[in-house]
Formats: sequence, C-alpha cells, structure tokens
Amino acid sequence: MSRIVDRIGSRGLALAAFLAAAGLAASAANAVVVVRRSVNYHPVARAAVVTTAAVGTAVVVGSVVRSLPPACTSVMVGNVAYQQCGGTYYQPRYSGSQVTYVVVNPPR
Amino acid sequence: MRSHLVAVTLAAGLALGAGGWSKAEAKFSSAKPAVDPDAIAALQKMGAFLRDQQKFSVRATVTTDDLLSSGQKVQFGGTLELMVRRPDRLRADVRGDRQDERIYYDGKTFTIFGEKVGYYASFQAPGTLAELKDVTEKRYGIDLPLADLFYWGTEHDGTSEITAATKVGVATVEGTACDHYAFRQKDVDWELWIEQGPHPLPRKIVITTTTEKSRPQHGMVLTWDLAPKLAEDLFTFAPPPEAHKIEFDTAAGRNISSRQ
Repeated sequence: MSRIVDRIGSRGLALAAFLAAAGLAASAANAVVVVRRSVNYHPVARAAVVTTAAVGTAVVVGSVVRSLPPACTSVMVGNVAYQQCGGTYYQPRYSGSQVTYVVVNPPR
Repeated sequence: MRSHLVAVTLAAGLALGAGGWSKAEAKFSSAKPAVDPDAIAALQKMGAFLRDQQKFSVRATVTTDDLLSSGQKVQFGGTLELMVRRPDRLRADVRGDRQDERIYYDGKTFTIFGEKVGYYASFQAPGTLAELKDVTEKRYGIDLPLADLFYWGTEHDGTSEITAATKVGVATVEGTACDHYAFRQKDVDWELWIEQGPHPLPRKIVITTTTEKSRPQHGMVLTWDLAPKLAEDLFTFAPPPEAHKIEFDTAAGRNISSRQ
C-alpha cells in the first residue's frame, strides 16, 4: 500500500496501461518495464525513489494498482467511474497527482 | 532579521560540509569553504526576486531519466507551463511522454485533470497560494510545480541541507548570460543557472540523484514572462462533457508526510 502512494508518482505507468487497454500501445507497454518512476515536478531537495513494478499481484478487493491490465473498458455505474477488466472492477482515484486504481466489488 | 537568518543557516551548512563532503575532497577545497556564501546569497536573491513577482508565466522544457528493468537508463521528455497571479490564481499544464495533467486554482477550488485518462478531482481550496501549498502537499501529496524555488531566502528554504555550494562560472542558456552554480546535499547534487542582470531568474536546473549507481538526472530549461496576459478563465476548471470526476486518496498526503 505504501509502495503505491510513494511521493514520487508515475502517471506514466498508469497512462501506458491505459493506452495499452485502449489497444493503442500494447506492444510498447509490454516491451518496456520502467522500474524507476519519476515525477511531474522534481523538487530540488529530494532524490528520486526506486520502486519495482508489481508483477502478478493477486486481484484482491481493496488492492491498489498503478496500471490496469490490458483490455479494460470505462464504465459508469450510478454516476461513479470504473474500469472493467474482464470480471474485475477498478475504481480510479488520485493519489497525489497520479491516478491509481482500487479493486472493488462489482458495482450494481 | 534576514541577515541573522542567513548567518545561522550558513553556519549549519558549513558544519555539515565539514563533517561530510570536505573530508574526502579537502585537497580540492582548501582555498574556499565548501559552502560558498556568495552562492547561497545568489539563491536567496533569486528567491526574493521571484516572490516579488505579482504575476508571471513560465514554460519549462523537462527531461527525466528513468531506468528500464535491464538497468539501462533512458530519457523521457515533456513540458511544464505555469501561470500565476498572486495572491490566489494558479494554472499548471504538464505534458510529456508519460504525463498529462492540468492544475487549476482560482482562490476557491483546486482541480487536477488528466486529459488523456479523462479523470479529474477537486477540493475546496484555501484563499491564498501560500495556504494552498501546505494543503496540497500535506493533505493530498501534490507538489505544486516549481514552488520550492520561491522559498530560498525564507525560513522555509533548504539552505541548512546544503553541504557544498560553489559558482562554476558564467554560461549561456538559450542566448542569455547566466551564473552557473553547483550544490550538493544528501542524496542529491544539483545545478542552477541564474540569469545575470536585473532579473535574477532561474533559467536552467539539473538535479542528479546520487544514491543511484546510474545517477539519473532531471533537467529543466525555463523561459519566463514577467508581464503575461492571463485571462480569468485560465484558472477555473470547466469539465469537458466526457470527463469523469473521481476522488482524492487523502491517505497519499498522510503517508507522504510520515516519510519525511
């Protein structure tokens, strides 16, 4: 959890995954795994933080990911935005200036 | 008051320098203290000048290194555009290879919007930029772009963290004569190019992370406009019909403050 909300965020991975999900950049996203993440703005007094991308994380309700699996669709249920990826629903939110996705129970 | 503060922070900086940096490299720095007071004074003069500007816009060309899983270092690029009118207006546009976000603040509401992902989130904001910075960083974990540059010369600056400061020489950035300074502190080396003459503006910044073997860098070249025309609607977010509102994870801010 704390790994997900590192101060040094990466909208990059989320975006790459989003594009991959839209079928726009699937091959590029698969070929390159960025393990260090950067910032939109890097204040002077802070070093970059190294993290490793989570791979093969179990899809458990309440878990948080920075990027979505491929082939998701954006759905609205009760005026709330979700990403539906197969049978799994993700709810997007801003963690810092980065969009992250929380696995939720299927909305009804 | 101010000179007293400078003296105290300089003393702290020198003490740190004597313990760490200058031990290993004393032979190179025997003539001058590790922290050159003139370099610190230049930072503070720049900070004071920036704080004097009632409105401005600045455009930055940004490059950021990242590592592939193989360990190879690669560079990503982007731009940052910041428009400010004191005391209560801010707009920032960040565009890049892997980034896309807009920040809006109109003295009432703060919004961050990712145009490509189509999501935005807002909160009721305090009435001034000074108060806003506190809330965005501590509660929401969002850094306002370039904000730290404005704090040199105040009690919030990072002078006490600096273990080495020196003027490298004179350099030209985008055709403008600048003084080139180099600073060191824990985990980070950084360089700053400050415009010569009556407008001591930061024109280029390079930050090197020294804890990584590959020493990744983050660099910016800045172009300033101190008399911009800033239309009122720049600062207020009007969601496009296809955009969806989502929430902030306020735990991000809490976790971040506990890390520091």
